[in-house]
Amino acid sequence: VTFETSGARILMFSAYVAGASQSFGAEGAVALRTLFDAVRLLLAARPPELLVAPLTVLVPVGEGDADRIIAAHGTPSPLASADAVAHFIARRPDRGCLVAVAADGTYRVVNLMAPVDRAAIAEAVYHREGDVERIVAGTNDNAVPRVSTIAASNFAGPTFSSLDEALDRYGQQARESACEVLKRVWEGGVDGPRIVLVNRPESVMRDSLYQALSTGLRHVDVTREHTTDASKPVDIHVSWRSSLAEALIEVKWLGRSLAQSKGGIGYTEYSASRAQEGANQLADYLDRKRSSSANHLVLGYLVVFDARRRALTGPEDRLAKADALHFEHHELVFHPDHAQLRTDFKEPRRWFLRPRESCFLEAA
Amino acid sequence: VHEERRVIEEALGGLPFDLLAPAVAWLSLYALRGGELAA
Repeated sequence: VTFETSGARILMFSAYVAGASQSFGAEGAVALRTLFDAVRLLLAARPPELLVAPLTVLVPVGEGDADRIIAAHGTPSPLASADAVAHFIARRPDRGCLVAVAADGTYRVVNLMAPVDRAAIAEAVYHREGDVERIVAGTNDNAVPRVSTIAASNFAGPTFSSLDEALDRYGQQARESACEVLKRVWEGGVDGPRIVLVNRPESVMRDSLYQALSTGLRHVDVTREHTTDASKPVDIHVSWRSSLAEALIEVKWLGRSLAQSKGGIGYTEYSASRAQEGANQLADYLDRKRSSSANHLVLGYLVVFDARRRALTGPEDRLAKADALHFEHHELVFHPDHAQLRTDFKEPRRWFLRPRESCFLEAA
Repeated sequence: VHEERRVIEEALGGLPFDLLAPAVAWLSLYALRGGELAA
């Protein structure tokens, strides 16, 4: 990640300060400080990636009264904490929400039936809609550009967006087995043809991803074999220390692995249907997690290591390029497609583990 | 850190450091420590 960090650039991110000062004078700065504290707490309790509908937070300027201001938008619910506001939002995630911060630091909240007229509020206002954050002070309405693609908000610590970024970065490495742990996943070693996986490769893949996330993410706890109340634990669990956000990651693999048993050596083979099993399993974990945890801040990630090869017989095979790479662009199709059916299931990731090109059979 | 905040505020024409969004505050410290931001 690179940043352009001139003073002019930093001032551009902070144009709202001049706007608040112009609209409200010194009282504008006081209100902004309170507003930022409230937004930081609210986005820790409800990460921005989980906000489906617009969120508007207002802090009265000067002697303004939060109850009176918000009453113009509906009958407010008084709530004592940011966590309580997060629960309120989670109950109707599809509805826009207006939050007023009272002088005693508690909150007044209403669900909005129609988009709010931000400028008409004439207080210090934070507004988030889609990925766009704005600070509004009367007629001064400033979009706040995002500093980093890793963080979904300039006002909150990164959570799910940083995990998305870490997974995509890891996926690039996994394609070439460029990880000290993942190298062990191939029968014949990483310098072999990379066409058959070792016995029980899932633990190698899980440990490789675990290591990448443990070292690549900040302010998180990453654990393996996280127990839900399902019969099998989920492969990796990520929780953010400054937030209630959690991620469950289920790891599956496709292709052929060696299988050693008392009866001798054979193969285990998984086709695309194994990915569907993983998706269904993950959906079940998420349901169980939701019923055992009231905060509803859990997202599910399915990652699929795809080592499928066409016309394969054994680990010493030399495959033609067309056979070795046959599945490289075969995207997985899910029925049911949980990522489309529910909001807590991220789009599955498929990482095609490339064979070693120097081992391809020469074309006749 | 207090001195760094003062230098940043000066470099930004008197803009109060605590009115920077947290990510922007981090960015300004990063710029200062990298020598890209000076009063």
